[in-house]
Amino acid sequence: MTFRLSNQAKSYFKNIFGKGSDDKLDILWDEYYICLMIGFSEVKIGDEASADSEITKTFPQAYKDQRYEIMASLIASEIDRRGISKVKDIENLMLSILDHNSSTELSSEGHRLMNRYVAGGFEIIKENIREVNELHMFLIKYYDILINVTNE
Amino acid sequence: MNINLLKLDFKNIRDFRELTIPLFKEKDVNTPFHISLIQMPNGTGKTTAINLLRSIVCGEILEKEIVLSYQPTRYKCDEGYFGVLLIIDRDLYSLGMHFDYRNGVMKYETSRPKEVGGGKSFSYDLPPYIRNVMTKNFTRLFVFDGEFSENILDNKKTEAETSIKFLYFLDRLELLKIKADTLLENKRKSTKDTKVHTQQGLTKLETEEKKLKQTLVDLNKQLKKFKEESVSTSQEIEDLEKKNDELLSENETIQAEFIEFTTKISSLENDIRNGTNIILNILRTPSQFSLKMNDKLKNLSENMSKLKLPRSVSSEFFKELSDEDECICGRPILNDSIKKKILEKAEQYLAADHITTTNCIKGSIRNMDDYKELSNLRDNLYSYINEKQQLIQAKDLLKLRLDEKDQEKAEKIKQEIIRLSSNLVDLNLYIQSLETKNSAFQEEFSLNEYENINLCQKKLIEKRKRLDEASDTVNFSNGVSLFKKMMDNIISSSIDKIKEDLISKSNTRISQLMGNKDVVLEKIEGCIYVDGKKGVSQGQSLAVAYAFLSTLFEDSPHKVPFIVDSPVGSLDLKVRREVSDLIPKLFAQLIVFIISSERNGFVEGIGKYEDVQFLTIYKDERETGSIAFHTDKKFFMQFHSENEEVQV
Repeated sequence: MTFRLSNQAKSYFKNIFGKGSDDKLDILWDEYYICLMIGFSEVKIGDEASADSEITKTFPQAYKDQRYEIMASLIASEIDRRGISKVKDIENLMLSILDHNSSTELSSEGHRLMNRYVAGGFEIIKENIREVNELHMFLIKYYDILINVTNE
Repeated sequence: MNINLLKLDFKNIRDFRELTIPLFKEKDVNTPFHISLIQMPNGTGKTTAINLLRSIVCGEILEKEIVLSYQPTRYKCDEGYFGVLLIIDRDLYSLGMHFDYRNGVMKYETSRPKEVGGGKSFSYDLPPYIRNVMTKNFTRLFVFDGEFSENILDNKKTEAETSIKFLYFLDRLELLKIKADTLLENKRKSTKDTKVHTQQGLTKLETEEKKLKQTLVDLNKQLKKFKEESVSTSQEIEDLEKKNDELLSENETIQAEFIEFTTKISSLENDIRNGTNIILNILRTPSQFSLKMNDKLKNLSENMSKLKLPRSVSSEFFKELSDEDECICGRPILNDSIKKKILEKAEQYLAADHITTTNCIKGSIRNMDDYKELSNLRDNLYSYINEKQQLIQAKDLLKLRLDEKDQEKAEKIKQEIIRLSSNLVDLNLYIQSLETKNSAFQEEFSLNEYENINLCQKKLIEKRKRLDEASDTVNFSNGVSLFKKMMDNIISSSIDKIKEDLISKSNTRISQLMGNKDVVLEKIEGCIYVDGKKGVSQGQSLAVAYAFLSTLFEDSPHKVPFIVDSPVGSLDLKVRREVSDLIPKLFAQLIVFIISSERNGFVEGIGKYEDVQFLTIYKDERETGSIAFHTDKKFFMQFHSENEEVQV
């Protein structure tokens, strides 16, 4: 059970990724998260097989406080995607996504879904932002597609 | 190993309805007679007995056709049995062959009467050290027939030499050669991916590996060179930019503006950095990611509260309830089917630990902040970027106000910076092509092992693996050839020495037995060659053959009974006497099957020896399948079968 990102995505973000640099993304989970949230927001899942590179097995320290909100976002997106509303269906969804014995409290199905939302999110990003050279310009374009897709 | 045969048992074998042939002495059942003469008319079952003995001693599994050939034809029966009692190194062993004539199959039975409970097993189960020796070929050396003795003397046959190989286990060395070939074949099959099994193929692989190694060295050198060039180019650009700045900052007319622009640009870069980090930090909180996400989470929170999720009843409640005798409603939980129903219900509820996680999720979104619009922050950041861009352009335009000479210098610097920057982009692309491990990049630029270090390393590892496998196979093949050559040398030199020794010992024995040196064993080349000063009679040749065999066994660590069918055949009286005089001296236990017509001459010679039993076995025609059995010497000597012609 791991968080996985495609090599293609890693290559795409390479110019704005750099450990210890002020104007770059510091950890690979930032790239994962950037893709994940667009995927959640647009309820778009991608191909699981494309996530060919393992980045970490746990939530990184920088995201520890947000982990339950991230899990909530996953549940909310899956409720949307599956179109469910009954207590029993939502409970079954939680049973399949959560695993209290796992270090992330996510089951393997939960991890698999997260990775698929990342793949889906990355597809949206690369369709809208062809080239990434500077983090600040990327963030402006990222915010713009967030607003545009949100308004659609 | 010392083997003696004590008893033969037949039941429903050919014409034997039931027959036991004892070979032991009445006074001492564990000691066989030195000589057992078994007189049986032709057609009574001599050949059957010899064949069964040869099979049972080596544990041969008989084919259906042979099994069925032992079924009695004169009366109906479905099962048969042949057994022997052996004493091997003072231990008794009973070996039996059970024949199932209905299905045409047979099975072995082994028992050790000395052991508690008989130590019975339903298989050929002699101890391994005996089984290893008792091969079919070895058995043929002591369960002997006329044909074999003729073959020992026949120069078209190789029985004598083959016997030496069997008895001295040189045949095992031949088997080792076959085993080595099998191992080589298996090795080749296991490395079939390599497909390189020859020295030529190996050399080709070595050349390819060498080429890759050199490529890797060259690529690393290139990488080092490009990296050095990249560093020096970056430094040159930095120096030129400084030079450009100096040109502007040292000019009195534009100095003040230049400093102002530089300070503002630096300040804007800080603003951009801060603005970027603020936006990034806000986005890192899912509820603040977008209005849509915020709404989604609020919706989830409301739903969880409305649906009372997680439910307060956990799966543990049902699990515990299933162990109770009574339900919470007061009804008794009587049987397993009710318990099963309750446990099925447990699976539909979250476990207590699950509930904790769900409550944390619920808590994280219950009191979350309302979404705060990011557009102001985005617009601010965008304006900082624009402003910085404009200032850079304005700073660049300052050089137009320089005098002509400095303008020229500034333009030259600018052109140089453009050229170097272009070089730097190329250099960085080369570096990336050389060192990238990213498969998407490698595919995009169609990189191969001669252009990319990572691909070259992978190819080299693959090539080394193939080379290791191939060299292992080729070395193994060379080793097998060497091993087989050594085996051949060992066999050849051993057999020469053994032959020399056998000839010498056999001749000593022959001269002692015959009291002269008229007949000698000349050589062993496939068969044995007998030479005599006054010519060699048939009997003398046969006696030499027996002397050769007894010498073979004498030096062997295995002492076995000598079982022979028709030892004198159609030999004349003189020869029969010679043979009968000699054979008993050669073997510790001698079992001879003869017919009445062979008695003359042969039995007289044997009769001189003590410790001889005379058995006569023939069909009792008064009752089908009945066999008459006599142990009387007088009866033996007078018995005459109508079916046998007197040949002497």
